[in-house]
Parts: sequence; structure tokens; C-alpha cells
Amino acid sequence: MVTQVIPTGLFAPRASDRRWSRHDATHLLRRAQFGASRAEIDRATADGLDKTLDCLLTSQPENEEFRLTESLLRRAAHDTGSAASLRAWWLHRMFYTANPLFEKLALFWHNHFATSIAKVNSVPHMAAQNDLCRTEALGSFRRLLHGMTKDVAMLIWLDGNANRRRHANENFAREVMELFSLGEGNYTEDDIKQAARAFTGWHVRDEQFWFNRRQHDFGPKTVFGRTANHDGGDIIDLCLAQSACPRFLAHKLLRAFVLDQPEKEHVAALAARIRARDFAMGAVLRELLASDFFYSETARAGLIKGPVELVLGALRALEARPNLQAVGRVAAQLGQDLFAPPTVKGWEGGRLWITSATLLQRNNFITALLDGQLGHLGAPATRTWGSAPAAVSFYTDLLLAKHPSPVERARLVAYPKQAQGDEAARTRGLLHLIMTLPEFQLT
Amino acid sequence: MQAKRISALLLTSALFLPLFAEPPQPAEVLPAGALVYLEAHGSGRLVRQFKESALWKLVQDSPQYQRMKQEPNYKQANTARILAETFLGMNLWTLGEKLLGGQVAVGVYPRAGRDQPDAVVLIRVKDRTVLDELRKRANPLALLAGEDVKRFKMPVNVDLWQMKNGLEIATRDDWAVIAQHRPLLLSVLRGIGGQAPKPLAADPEFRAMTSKFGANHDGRAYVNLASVVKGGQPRLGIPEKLDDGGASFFIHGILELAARSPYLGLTLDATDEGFALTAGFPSGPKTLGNKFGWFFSNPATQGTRPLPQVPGVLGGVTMHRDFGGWYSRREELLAENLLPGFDQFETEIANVLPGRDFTEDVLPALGKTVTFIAAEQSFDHLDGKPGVKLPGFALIFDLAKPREGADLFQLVFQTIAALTNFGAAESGNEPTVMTAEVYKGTTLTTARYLKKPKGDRLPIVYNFMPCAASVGNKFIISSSAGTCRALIDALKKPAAGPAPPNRNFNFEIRPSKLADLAAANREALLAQSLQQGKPLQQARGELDLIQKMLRAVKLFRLSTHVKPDQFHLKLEGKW
Repeated sequence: MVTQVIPTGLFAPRASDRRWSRHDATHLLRRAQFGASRAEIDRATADGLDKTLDCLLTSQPENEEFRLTESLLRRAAHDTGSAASLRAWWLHRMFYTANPLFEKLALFWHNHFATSIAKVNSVPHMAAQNDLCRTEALGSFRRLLHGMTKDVAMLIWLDGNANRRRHANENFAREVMELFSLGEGNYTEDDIKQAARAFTGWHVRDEQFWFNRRQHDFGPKTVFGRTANHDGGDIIDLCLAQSACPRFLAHKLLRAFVLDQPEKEHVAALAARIRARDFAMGAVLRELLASDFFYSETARAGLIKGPVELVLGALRALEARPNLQAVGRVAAQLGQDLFAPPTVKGWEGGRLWITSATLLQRNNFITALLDGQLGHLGAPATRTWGSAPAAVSFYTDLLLAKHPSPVERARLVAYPKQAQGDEAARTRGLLHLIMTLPEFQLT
Repeated sequence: MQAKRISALLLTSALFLPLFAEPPQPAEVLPAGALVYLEAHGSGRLVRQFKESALWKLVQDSPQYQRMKQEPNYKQANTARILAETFLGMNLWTLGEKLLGGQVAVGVYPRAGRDQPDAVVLIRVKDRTVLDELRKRANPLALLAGEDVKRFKMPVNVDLWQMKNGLEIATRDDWAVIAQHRPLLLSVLRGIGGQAPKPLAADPEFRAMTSKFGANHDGRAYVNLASVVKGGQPRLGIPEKLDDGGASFFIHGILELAARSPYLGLTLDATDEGFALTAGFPSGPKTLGNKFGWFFSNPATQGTRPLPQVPGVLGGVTMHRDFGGWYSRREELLAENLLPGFDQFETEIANVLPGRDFTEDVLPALGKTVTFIAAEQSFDHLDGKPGVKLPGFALIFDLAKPREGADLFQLVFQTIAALTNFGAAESGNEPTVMTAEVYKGTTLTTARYLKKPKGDRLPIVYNFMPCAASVGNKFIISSSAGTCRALIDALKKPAAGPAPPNRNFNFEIRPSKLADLAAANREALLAQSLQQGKPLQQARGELDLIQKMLRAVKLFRLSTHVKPDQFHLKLEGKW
């Protein structure tokens, strides 16, 4: 039975008398979405925390154009078998959906259950896995994990068909424990060996999951000290019952939504909420995003934007219409090729997004963006300004998680007077200066 | 200063006085020695045809044009247009139709001591009232312009306007002459009066061109290649040996003719149903000797065959090339650095043809014609259809030794099918097995799917079910059995109608059939536009416009023709 206890301590809700500010709304939207436009920030500020969270955490109806376009793009990806088209489809969803938090979590789960099209080699299978990540994005992690272990793309990726009664392949069992549920060091090698026997016969046949009875080991297995005729589903339930499981998930959620290097007490507190909510991720996210801790100074401007977030966020803030193919390519160049994570561990993220090579690429991306190579720029990038301080305030509020220092601000304010070219060129130059500040890399 | 100028003009004009006789043709007016000459007759009707055409209406109704009308640049240009039309007293379409309704000619001439040649434009209007009207309206403007525009009235109704930038415009009766070089302008005016010492029409190369290509065309052009060569570009800069194997195979013969020809002639003929633009060199293949015998078909024969008439043909190309002849002369034709690549190719192909030498065993089996064709396919090899519907494709090789050639190509076909199967296994696609069927007495070898793929949106790879067949001295390799069967029917049918003129190369495309293909793949094309960031409505509008434009055109053809003493390249369009 799930207890619906109101959280206390680190994830206690914000005090009701605490003012909901524009700064809070911006912080929430940037973490819960891929960037935010000025209109979205205005709306969230006016709506307040509860209404904004209701909107983010419940499924909103999509408009007609989104549905038609999404459907066309998905069919094109299936018909052509093109990974680039599949990426374009998902980027379209991320940018235009009325449910951005669902897409952000779909990306989170895609990274968690890292599977690459390079080996799976099938657009329909990768799309189906993506659908599962989305369906259970804010649903039950229990259901998601069960579903993922029978997912065709996952079975192909982890050589499920090689897992046979007389020759159990430990690859699948190891990844279920190490990467999907418990993390390294929270199981023994014997647990892996026995779990591998439980997953034997979990195969793919005729493009579907198939339980190959002839290749399944029906004998008793001892996993985490429990002996029974476990099958794959039982192993998953045993993993979920381990105390390491909510801790493993909590650490990842905190790194994705709150801060890059969470402390043990942060992890323990969130793990307790995950256990209390029996892995119902929607409820957990609501508590997290409504908590005082989420809006504390510790949690602000503390995450480095991943490539997809960086590119889509910039396009959203500048109200552009993205060229989806170009965006996919740029994100890949910056280190995040959707549907093709580099290893079974996915993208490590955090500080590892920034290297000397990718920092240069991030600056090149800004140049390409402001040149219109990634899509048609909207009003914020093309408007003219009567006052340099007003322009600087507008753009730093819109684009930066952290205000620049007074010295830096003075430099930005002085720029339009010194710059050459017409007004449009000066605006673009100012945007370039702001978007190449270190603060722009943070969310 | 002003008086001196007028006296000089009066003196010059005296040269014209006695002899303005019956109006001659533009080539009889322009002086000899032109590097380039262009002439058009009755183009005014083309202006009217275009203005009234469905195509122009399509463009005007398109969402893109409506959007463009909102742009500041368009609004500026439109304002300028309105001002000009008010000044002229007629709209620009009418002006264009009237100005171009008679004859228009352009000549480009070298000038001693200068790299840049000079150009002169000669217009002879059909309705001289338009020039009278333009003169009447321009005169007050010239007065207002002051020193920027000077106007001189010369005898025999010659008006001369001299612009500040050096451009001079002279009109006389129904002629207008525009040039920047005074002596050239005066020379043309003399020509109008029948006083050109040596007109272009008397140039030996120009006369030869007129004799070979005819004078009665809607437009024609002449390029004096000998003058370009004299100007310091031997062989027009075309090297004897090319450093691109593909360029050598496809166009080396044409380049060589160009390098050796004294001139290039072009003619244009346009009707309500289409147009034909022909370019020609005055020399035939015999002037190039045996070195290029592989390139040209015998002018006494049909050359390549017409494209096989299969249902739903989208287009294709037939080409006469003696591949064996080209290959054996590669050392004469190609740059040194390309030659090792051929040795490597022969080594690698030996893996597929063990115990055989490419030059001795393979080349002699090949004939001199190859055809590539694309046509709609029926997808009866599937239990459904692919999501993206491609046409069926086929290559048809003529074989000099049908039996040996057919065996060799069959071996290549089987090898490719086997390699494709490895790829299919890796991608999780349905593998194929080789089978044979007999269709109207011809054996087809087919790579049939192990299990017939089922579904209404199958992956793109299922457009292909490779097939091969031997028909007489021709070998067909096709991407689908349906296309192969259609080709067998077409190749076995005797040719209907009169034999077409000699064609060395023939490329045809039927845009209206491309429109059908676009309609069948509308979703995929829309998705491409959406991926580029276009809104759905814009994507739909653009695709609709493209389809309408394609449907308006029945045929485009690019062909080359060999004659004993000429070589022609022809671009045709039919709508």
C-alpha cells in the first residue's frame, strides 16, 4: 500500500506565504522544459506555482497542427528508415508539444535506458521504445522497467537472443541491475549469474517480444538471498525492492533537475519520497518541483545545459522556427546524438558536456543560430532598441540563469555604441556577446 | 564646346545622308568581326504568351508570391514600375511586347588595346509608333536631366541621346541602337543605311553557320570560336587529356569538337506547344579521327534507340558509347594520374570474374549502347506497398557477344544479390532467394523475398526486387520484376512509326509523370519541408505549386545528333 505522506524536511513544499516571482517561474520552466519563451514565463508568473505544475505534470491536449505534423514526420521516419528523420520527429515533439515535461523526461529515460539505433538498426523499434519512455515518463517506474526489459530495441541492443538455457548471457542481467535499477556495487556477481538464468528465453521473434520456453531455465535461482523459480519479471521486482534502487534513481533525478553534485542527504531524502510514492514519478516530480529546496540558491544556475537543451532552449527563447535536421546535426556535434548514445551508460552529462572542443562548438552554434542557419529567428532577435540598458536587461533576463557581474553588464551596455552596422546587426552582436557568456551554459 | 560637338556630329551624319535605303536584316546591319552575335525575332509574342500562360497565373496565385508582395524590396520595385508605366504611358508588358515584337540583336566586338569587348544592341520594332512615343516622352526628360543626358538631332530622322556614363542611344525610324563605343554605334547606323563596308552577314564563318543552321528561326546565336582562340585561348582552354574519367566518357567528344571548331551556332524555335534550342558545331566526327570513334554513332544510322515505351515511363537516357573503345584508348584520353585507378579496378573486378581478363574477355562482349530508364512500378512483389514509392529502374546493355555478355552480366547480378543479402540480414530486412521465371519465352532471374513482405507502409528497401533478363542481344538489370517484364514486352515489339533522326545521346524526362510520383509520395515530401522548419500550410502550398508546374510540362529532352559534317546538341520542351 502506498502512503501519501506530505513530505517534510528537504523536500517540504514551499511555504505558502513565500512570494511566487518571475525569477521562480523562469527557473521552473527552464528546468522542466527545453528553455522558455518570454510569453511562457509571463503566463507561468501569472498562474502561480500550483497551476503551472498542474499544467506541466498532466497531459495537455495537443493542437491540430502539432498532431498533423507529428504524424507526418513519424510516418516519414518509418517509411524511409532514416535515423535523421526519427531525430527530426522527436525534436519536433520536444519543441512544439503542449507537454514539454513529458518530453524532457522521455529524454531522461532515453539516457537512463541508453539504446542506440546504430546496433538496433530499426526506426520502428526505436520509436516504440521512445513511446514507452513517454507513456511512462511521469507514470510508474515499476511499469517502465518491466516494459523496458521486454522492449524489442532493448533486447536487440543487449543481445537478448543470445541468452539461452545452457549458455546464459549475463549482459542483459548486468545492465538491468547496474544501469537500470541499482547502480554499481549494489549486487554480487552471483546475483548477476542467477538473474541471467531468469532472463533466458527472453527473445525477439518476428519483430516482437517472444518467450522462448525451450530456451528458458526453469530451475530455482537465488538472487539477493531469495531462492525461488524466478523469472525475469520476478528479478525486476526484487531489484525494485532493494534500498539501492530508489537511491540510484534519486541521484539521477537530482543531477537532471536540481544540482550536478547532490549530497548524500539530498539523495537519501529524495529516495525516501520515491519509496513512499512507490516509484510513481509524477508524484515524485511534483514534490521535487514544488519543494523549497528546488527554489533555493543551491539549486539555481547549477546545471550545465546538455546539447539538446542548449540548442532548443536558445531557439525557444528567441521564438525561432527550428530547422529540425540542422538542430539534430548540431546537437550531435555538441555530443548528444539522439537515439545514438555513445555507450550503454548513456551520456554522463554535467561537467563532461564541456570540453575544449565542445566549448568551441557551442560558440560556433551561437554564430550559426544568429546567422539564421538553424531556423528562422523570431521577434526577440530582430527587434530594435531605443536603449542599450533596456536591451541588455531584456536579453539577460530571457537567456541567462544568472545575472552577469556589474563589470560584465557595463561592457554589454557599452557594446551597441561601439559596434558597427545597422540596428539589426548591433542587436545580433549584443545577443552573440550575451550567449557566449559562461552564464548562458547554465540553467 | 557644345558647338564643336554638334559640328562633329553633323559631319559624321553626312556620311549617312544619301543611302538609307530598304531596311535590312540585323546581321546585314551589324559590322563583321563579331565575337558573339544574338538575334531574336518576334519575341514580343513570347512575352504575351508568358503573360497569358497558366504558369504565370500559377506563380501569381502561389502563397510564395503573395508573401513576396509584402516584402519592402517588392514594394519599392512595384512603385518604380508604376512610375515608369505612368511616364511611358503604357504598362511594361505592352512595352516589352512592342519593343521585342520585331527584331532584337546583340553583337559583341573586340576592341584593340582593350581586354573588355564592346557590345551593341540593335532593336527593330514592328510598330514604329512605340519608338515615336518613347522619343516624345524622353525628350522633355532629357532637357530636365541637363548635362547628364545630351540629345542631338541628326539628319534623316536620327536622334542621339548621350548619357553621362558613356552609353549612347540612337533611334532612326523603327530602329534603336544602344552602344558605349561611338565608332561601333556609327558603324551600325551606317549599316542601317546599307553602307556597312563589311557586314556580319558577309563573314565567312557567319555565312557558313547560316548555311548549315538556316536563317529562319525565332532566335539564333553565333560564337566565333576562332576569334577566342586568336585572342590567346588555344583550344578554348580545353586540355587534350582530361583529368576526370566521367567527363571524358560522357562529353570528351563534344569538348574536342568545340576545341577545333571555328564557330558555335545556336538556334531557338518556340511555338505554343513547346520550344527547341539547338547548338551545333560545323564539323563532324571524321575531323577528330579514330581517337574519338568510340564517342560518335554512325550518322547514317539511327544511333541509339529511342527510350523503350513502357507504361508509366518517367524518363531515362540512352547513349551510344563504345565503352571498349574508350577504355582501350584511356592513355590517350586521360591524365596520367588517373591511369593507376584503372589497374586497380581490373585487379578488383578479377575477384568477381576469376580466370578472366577484363580487357580481353569482358570488353569485347559489350555493345555500344546503354540505356537507363525509370518507370512507375506496380509493387506486385509485395503484399502491400512501401511507404515511400520509388519508380522501377533498369539498365539495358547492348551486347556485341550476346551469349558471353549475358553470362558475365548474370554473374555480376548474382554477386550483387548475394552481397545485398548480407546487408539485409544485418538490417533485419527480409532476405531474398534467386529464382527464375519464364515470361513470354524469356527467362527472368529474380531475387525474390523469402517471405512476401506485408503491409501498407513497408520500408523503402522493399521498392527493390532485383531482376535480370536477356532479350536478344540486350541484357536487362532491373530493380523490379514488373519493370523487367514491361521492358521485355517493349524490346520484343517491333518499332512503330518512322525511324527517328540519328541520336548519339538522348535524355528524356516527363515532368507530368514526375508530378504523379510526387503525388504518390506527398507525405514524404511534406515531411522533408517540415523537417526544414516550414509550417505545414507553407509546405503544402509549395508542394501544390511544384506539382502544378510539373503537370504543365509534358516532356523535356536533351539529345545529341551526329551528321557527317555537323554535331548538334538539342534541348526541347513540350507543354
